[in-house]
Amino acid sequence: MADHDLRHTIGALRRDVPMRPEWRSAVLRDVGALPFPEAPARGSSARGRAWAFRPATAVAAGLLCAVVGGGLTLGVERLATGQRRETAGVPVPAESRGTTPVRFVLVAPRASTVTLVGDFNGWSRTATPLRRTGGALWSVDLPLSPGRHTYAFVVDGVLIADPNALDSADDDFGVRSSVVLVSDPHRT
Amino acid sequence: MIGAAAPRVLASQSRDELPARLQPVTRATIERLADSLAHESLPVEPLYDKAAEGVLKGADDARIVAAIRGLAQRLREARVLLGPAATDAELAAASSALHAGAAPALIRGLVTTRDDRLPGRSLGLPLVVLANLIADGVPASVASESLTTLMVHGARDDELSAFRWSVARDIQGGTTPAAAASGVMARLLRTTGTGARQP
Repeated sequence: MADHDLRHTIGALRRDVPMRPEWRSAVLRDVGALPFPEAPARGSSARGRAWAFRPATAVAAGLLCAVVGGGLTLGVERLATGQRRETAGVPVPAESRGTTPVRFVLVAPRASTVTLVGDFNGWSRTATPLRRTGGALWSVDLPLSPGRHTYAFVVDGVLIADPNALDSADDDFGVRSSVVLVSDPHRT
Repeated sequence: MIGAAAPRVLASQSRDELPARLQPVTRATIERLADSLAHESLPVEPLYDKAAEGVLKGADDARIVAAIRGLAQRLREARVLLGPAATDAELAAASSALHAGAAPALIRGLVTTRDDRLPGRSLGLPLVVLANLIADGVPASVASESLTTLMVHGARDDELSAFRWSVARDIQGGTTPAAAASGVMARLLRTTGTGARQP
């Protein structure tokens, strides 16, 4: 293949696939339909409490901002393993207890396990597993204190940054992490 | 599962939770650095978070200590640049911007713009975007000028984030980083009807 043809092909492959409005609406509808966490049943192994969330339209609106603002599709990234993964960290408004629930979402259809690691859980590989919902979608809702939080996903034992989030840009260990900023719900 | 994570979620790292894998001398070093920051009214949690991050990412103790020393120094520098009223998030964001290569003068410029024209505006997200743009290859001065221009024209945090993604996309498409930043900013300003400003 001639060099100019190769460059043209590469350029075409690198261009973002534009998302049609109806696709975006469908994705937002699916994300908004994610079930709210329920209180653990008595006697179950899960501990803790359930949090109340405002209507999922806020989730959809946040995701729309993340997607539209990013000018991307859902940040599709083709990885070496051949999986296509799409992520978004979407602040989910909730009743304030000094924290804001943040929904972390990952599309990983071939993953067996997905966990969330970050400064909010001591970078523990096991503390915060994501739950598979709707087939390829993995998600977890986590109450985060106001401020800057760095995080990453562990997918089948492999640490990956969130391709749809800003980089923490202060990596000292050769593996990228992502960052999410949570605003103080009590400040204007 | 969400409930099981709850007890740890609200608490950032503390000295009691330093990874057990760290050697005693490493732990002592981290604790001394933390005590030093605490005396300067600087946040100490980032040091412990950095230690835990390093352990997870397989770094040895020496590398972890080096990273934490660097972080402590950058937090001190961030305090000087941002002033005593800066939030922990702003300090951490400024630290990451310094780590990415932003000159202190550029950060000071953002602070001056904020103080003069956007009082009360948090610099947390703008500093994160600045760090990301620099990491993408945008010259620091161009990145800073672009962000300042957008902020002065009323860009919100989500719009600044979108700006960075648009720049990254143009870079992926073959545009040079400097041209990408300038081009996206010009397009945004035209869209808002405020007119383009030359960087």
